Amino acid sequence: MEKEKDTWSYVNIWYLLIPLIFIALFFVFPLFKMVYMSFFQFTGVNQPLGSFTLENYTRFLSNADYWVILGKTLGLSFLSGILCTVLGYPVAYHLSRMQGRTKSLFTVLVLLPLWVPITVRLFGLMTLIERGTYFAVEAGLVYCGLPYMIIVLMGPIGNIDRSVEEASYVCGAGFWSTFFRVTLPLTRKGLISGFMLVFALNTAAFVVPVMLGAGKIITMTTLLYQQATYIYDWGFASAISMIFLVITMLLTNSGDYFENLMQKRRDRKGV
Amino acid sequence: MKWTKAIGVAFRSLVYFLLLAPLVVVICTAFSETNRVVFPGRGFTLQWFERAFTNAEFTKSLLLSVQIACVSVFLACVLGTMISLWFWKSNSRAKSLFQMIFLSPIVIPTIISAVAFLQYFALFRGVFTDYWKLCLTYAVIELPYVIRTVTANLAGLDTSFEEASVVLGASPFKTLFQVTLPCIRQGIIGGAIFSFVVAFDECVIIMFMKSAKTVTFPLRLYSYITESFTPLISAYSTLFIIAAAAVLYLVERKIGVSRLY
Repeated sequence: MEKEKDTWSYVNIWYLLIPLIFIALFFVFPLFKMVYMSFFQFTGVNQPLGSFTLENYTRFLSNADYWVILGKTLGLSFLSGILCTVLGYPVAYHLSRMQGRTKSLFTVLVLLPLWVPITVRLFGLMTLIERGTYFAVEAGLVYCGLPYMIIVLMGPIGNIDRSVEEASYVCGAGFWSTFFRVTLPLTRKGLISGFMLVFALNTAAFVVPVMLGAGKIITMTTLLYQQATYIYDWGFASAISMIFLVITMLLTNSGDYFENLMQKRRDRKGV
Repeated sequence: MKWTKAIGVAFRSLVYFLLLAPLVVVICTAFSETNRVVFPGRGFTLQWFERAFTNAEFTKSLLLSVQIACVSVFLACVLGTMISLWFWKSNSRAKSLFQMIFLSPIVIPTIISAVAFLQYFALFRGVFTDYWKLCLTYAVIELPYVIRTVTANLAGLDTSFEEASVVLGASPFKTLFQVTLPCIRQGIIGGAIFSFVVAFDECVIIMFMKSAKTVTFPLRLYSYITESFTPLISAYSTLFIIAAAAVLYLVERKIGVSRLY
């Protein structure tokens, strides 16, 4: 039986190799080259690299200004994650309880901003808000993150067995105590993953700070852009990218870590 | 209970309002008679739409964007379907490693990939034209989206269709093209639509790899926004909002848009 399957199957090793060569050539190698460049002195585009050095990293890590930029970037995106959760939860809650055509219509309304080019979206915000302030950047981040948050939350909220909530009402709990003690804990996983998604997306947001920051608000991404395309210090740009990559990876994985921690605490309590 | 419901309705309306207000504002300003974008607009004119259809720069950029998007989507769909089929059939131990590699373009922030692309393609000066650089890098960025939708479709596919086809005497290739691929058509189309939107809307890589020859549509729009701020931008934006709404509605009706996420 095994052998027979082998002879007719059309999937062979090329189905792996061709895409693999493609992604290696145009994604993996560029990343490796960036890692490599971050450890050498940069002397110019298409010039031989200088000697091995850690200076690119120490230059970032020893300068308080860069730490401030990093802190601002993380702070802005953390706040946007919280705002998106607060704004998105009620909408997702209601949306996941809808059915048929109304659900289709409202889903389209929520998702429409995501399908409109981001330049157009931010152009709309620019006509309403003055550019170059932290408020403008924050508004842009929340605006871009909100549809994602709603979509992510819809799944877990829709999965709640409604009879659990009904049971809570029958037992005499009011709307708010049902919400905080039944619904919210049941959707904890969705909340964490939604928050982490928006947090990670907005930490790496580039178009928002460029368009709404108007050059006055420097975030990690605009700093990277400056270094790579205006100042042309590719060694330093590579080092910033690496530091930034490590931070974003830690952030995206900290959601799971946090979830595990909560699970352990609950287990210990015996709930 | 009653007032909590009222608060709920008010809050949700506010969120919907916030989500849609910038888009509505853009549409309103497109009919303004002023030379700069102001809200609320003054007067009513269709001249900006007229200019939008006759603006050579924008038309060129639009065509270029569509071209790049089509080429990169084609590449991503072919390669993405191939690797998804391999993932589907393979029991290899290295599978999870490969899965990680192929999904990494969406895990790693695009801006970091963009820096890497900028530095990497500087090595091949003269080998790739600016146009192909964009096509290839966009294809890489789109791959995970195609793989995700196709894999989701393959997971629900019954292998007995293929077995039946082979038992009835079809060659492996005929089975692939006449049985398997038509069965996962929806996943490929969904991935293609999603990838097209990603490629068309791509503003990060293009900012790093821009050249005078490859001013794609988002870049053209960006330069007009920062330089002139005329309602011409609103006119184009209006057209895009309408197009996006139409595509989104069609996708929702035919495939179900929440399945793409």
